[in-house]
Amino acid sequence: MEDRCKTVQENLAVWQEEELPLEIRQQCDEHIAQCSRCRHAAEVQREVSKALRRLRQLHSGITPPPSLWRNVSKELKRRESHKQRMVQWQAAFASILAACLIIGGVWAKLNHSSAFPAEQTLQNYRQWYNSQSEPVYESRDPAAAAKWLSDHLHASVLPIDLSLSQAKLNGADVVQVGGVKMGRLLYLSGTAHLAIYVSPAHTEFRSLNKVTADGNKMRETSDKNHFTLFAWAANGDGYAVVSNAYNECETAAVDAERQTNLP
Amino acid sequence: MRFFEKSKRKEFEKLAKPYMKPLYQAALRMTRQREWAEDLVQDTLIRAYERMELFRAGTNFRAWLFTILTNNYLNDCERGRRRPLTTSFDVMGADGSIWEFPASEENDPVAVLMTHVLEEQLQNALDALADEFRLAVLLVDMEEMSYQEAADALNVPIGTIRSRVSRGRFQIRQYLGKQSEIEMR
Ligand SMILES: [Zn+2]
Repeated sequence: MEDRCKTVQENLAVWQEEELPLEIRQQCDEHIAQCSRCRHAAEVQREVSKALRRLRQLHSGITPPPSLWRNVSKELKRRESHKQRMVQWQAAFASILAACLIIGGVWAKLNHSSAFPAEQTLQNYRQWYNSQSEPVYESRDPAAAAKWLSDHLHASVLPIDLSLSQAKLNGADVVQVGGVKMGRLLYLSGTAHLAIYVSPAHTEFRSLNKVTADGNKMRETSDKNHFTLFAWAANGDGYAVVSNAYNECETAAVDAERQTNLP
Repeated sequence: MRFFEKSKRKEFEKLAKPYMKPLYQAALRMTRQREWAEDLVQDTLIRAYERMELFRAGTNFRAWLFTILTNNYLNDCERGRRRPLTTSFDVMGADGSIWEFPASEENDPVAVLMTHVLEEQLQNALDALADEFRLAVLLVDMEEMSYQEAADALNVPIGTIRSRVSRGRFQIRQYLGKQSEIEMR
């Protein structure tokens, strides 16, 4: 086959179409005018294409059954409402999830591992007060008691000396208060029984409603037996002083708070 | 496509409904079976609706629909669920006996049209093509797709489409020639 014939045959399909670059089209036109074989091949292409288009014309009267569009439309509607339902479900699910997160967040904040269980501390004091049991570790030395507590709580506990508040240490023990392991120091000041609760890392209070002379915040709460609790956070630990006597309790709390808040 | 967010379905229906008829005719030409053609059109429109986001605005919506139709048809064939009524041209019997027009229901308007005396042979010649040539010829000569659009629909290079179309046309001519020889005998 001649080179020109080859070019023409390769482009036969599109010979008459706009798609062929003008240059090649002109080359084909020139060659076809001279070469009868290529002329015939081109003719076949054009004729068959024309015949097929005529056939297409004959088919133009064929219409799809009306049920076809109805079915399509029905299916599209079904899918649309399904999608809308999905969106609604997703929205509902998202709001439920958000609500859970909020509730969970509040719950977690209340029950946070770093929350100081003030109410349960008061309760623990009440139980102790009713039994007046002796502390496990008996000592009059605040430093020794602090060391004993440090060993048992696996945390560093500061010594709290309440001699300036006229309270004498009796000893220390370790108690479980509201699921939290705490150190408890027992003091006596006249007829007032004082207990200082030390809770490493439990420093959060629902509210702090009292301000000391130094500007530090405290929580004060009392129960119907007139037991009073003063609690505060200092240097990453939570503290509470609880007593059956309000004045002694307040004095001891201010004293202890100063010692724990030393820089 | 932001345009479709208002009511995607309504917009789609408005856009797609005019193509229902050409799609159906094309599906009939591909399958030559009415039931299959109806299923194809339905699947095509639903798939197009689901993939509306993939349609690039400003491109040819008709060609896009036909591309989906072609793919659906090829998928059906591939899965072996259905078989088009065609045989490779190369295995054509000399007496033309295997080219009997496929049986259709009586009084079927499609069948009546397709059995038109003069057009019947052309139709048979078309059906005798192997599917790769037949689809190329159908898309370009009967569905009015450009070579590029047909190449995209069949996922082959444009050169392949050109060669398939020209070879397909040749084979049709050849078939018709043989038929007339048989008739003249
Ligand atoms: Zn030539």
